[in-house]
Amino acid sequence: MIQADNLTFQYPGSHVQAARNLNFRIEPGEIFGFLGPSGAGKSTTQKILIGLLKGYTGKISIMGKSLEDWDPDFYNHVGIGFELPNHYLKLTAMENLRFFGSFYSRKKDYLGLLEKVGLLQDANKIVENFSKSMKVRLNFIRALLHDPEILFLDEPTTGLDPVNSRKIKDIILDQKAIGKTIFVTTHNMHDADELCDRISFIVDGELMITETPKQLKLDHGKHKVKVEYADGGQLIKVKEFPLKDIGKDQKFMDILKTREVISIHSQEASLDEVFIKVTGKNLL
Amino acid sequence: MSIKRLIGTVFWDLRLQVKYQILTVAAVVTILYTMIFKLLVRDEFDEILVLLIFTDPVMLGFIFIGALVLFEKGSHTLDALVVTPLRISEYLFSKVISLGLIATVCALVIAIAGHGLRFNYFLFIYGVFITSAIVTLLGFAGVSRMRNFNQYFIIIPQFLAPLALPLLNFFQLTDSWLLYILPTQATLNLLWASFHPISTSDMVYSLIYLPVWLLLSYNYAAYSFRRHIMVSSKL
Ligand SMILES: Nc1ncnc2c1ncn2[C@@H]1O[C@H](COP(=O)(O)OP(=O)(O)OP(=O)(O)O)[C@@H](O)[C@H]1O
Ligand SMILES: [Mg+2]
Repeated sequence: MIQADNLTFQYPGSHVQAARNLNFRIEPGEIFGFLGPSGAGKSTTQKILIGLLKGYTGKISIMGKSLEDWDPDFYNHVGIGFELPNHYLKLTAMENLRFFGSFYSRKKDYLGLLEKVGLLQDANKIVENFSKSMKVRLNFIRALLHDPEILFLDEPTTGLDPVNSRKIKDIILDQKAIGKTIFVTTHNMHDADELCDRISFIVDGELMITETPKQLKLDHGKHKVKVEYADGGQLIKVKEFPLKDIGKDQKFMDILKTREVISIHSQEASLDEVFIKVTGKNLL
Repeated sequence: MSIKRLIGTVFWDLRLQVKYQILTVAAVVTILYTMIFKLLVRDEFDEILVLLIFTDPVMLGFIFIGALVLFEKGSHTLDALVVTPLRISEYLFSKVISLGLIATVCALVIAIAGHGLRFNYFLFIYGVFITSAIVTLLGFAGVSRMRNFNQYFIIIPQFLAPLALPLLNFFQLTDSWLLYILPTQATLNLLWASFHPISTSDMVYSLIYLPVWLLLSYNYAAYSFRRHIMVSSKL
């Protein structure tokens, strides 16, 4: 659905490449994530893919057609969520939707979209007075307005409380369920883990690895078992053991047999541990 | 270009111009001009009338397009527009048509108030609308490279001074053919011609020369859009 080969980009007036020789391929119906710290080049990559930044080198193909060969009809097929909300502040939420909706011929369900993100009561309020979270949600549904085949979502949950973040993630998963292809950027490893079929780690404009979240954790994370036990008297001790061959671990078995065990937890590696291990950088 | 999308965009542009008080400013200025003319000018003095009408679409159009585009830049809505099926041509045409409508209506009000109902509407509207379009497009080209009002205000005189030069010919301070290079010479000819006869050569020149500038300005504005609104890599 989306393919990038040797994609490189440098901003005018900058002396570093914001995207360096990126190669990736996004399959139809897939949620593909770019996970990386601030300044890694996530937004830059999205802006290149949606035709906002020109003059890149390398090849980009979207829906089987080179990006350069697409005319503005391209935008009938893709929906874009920007990192920073960009609305007409003097218009109401509804007017903003109707204004952007007027560019597309497909039938639109403005009220349904507003309802999905909890903005129905605010439909006729001026966007200028919206909170950050309200603007972010309005921005998000604007991407869905014309029911596009591909979604590009730049940090869709940033600035949202857990409840609203949940709503947005559920909508993204619903979109995947009806066959949409979704490119999403984030520096939130929980979101990446939950949403993405595959993730690319990006640092300083370079892709370090592309894998399924599960495989990443399997390959790079240590699975551990954490045991809490009473070591005679009042003392509570905590020990960690590798999950692998745990039954043959003499120390672990000794504890089970001879001590009073308070709790045992198996611990999965988290994506940010994997991120640090693979890239040598912290996510935040 | 889709006519349906264009009409829709003109509608929304007019709506935004109401919200951003542009219509209010245009109305206030028009009333002010009408009052100035009525109070200060006793006899029929069409030179002053033409001067007022001339400064209205030219000056105001330049400030209006600047304000509209800077508002869009400020709220980053231009990025959002660029990634819709809306064409650059539709965006520019919509600005030209909506601001041209306002300019034409204001100019007509001033003209009718000052001169009565008897003048050549075709020449008048032709002159005012196309001039407003040229100013809007040049103004867009100018503002496309600016970040804020302060920067824009600095370049306004650079654009407006040359456009005002043909007033020297109009008030017979000069009689220079050089000023015929500027589009506003044709504007002044047409405005005058809608009240009083002018020579055939002046008429032909004006009717043909104004659209030539319109075409040039359009291309310059479209170039500026691609060059300055969209970011291009230096690779
Ligand atoms: N308009 C610009 N001109 C010059 N450099 C830029 C511009 N926009 C971004 N950059 C630089 O490009 C690099 C990548 O920025 P980008 O916005 O793509 O990062 P990001 O991964 O989206 O970060 P964040 O998580 O903070 O959104 C950064 O070093 C940034 O400073
Ligand atoms: Mg970003």
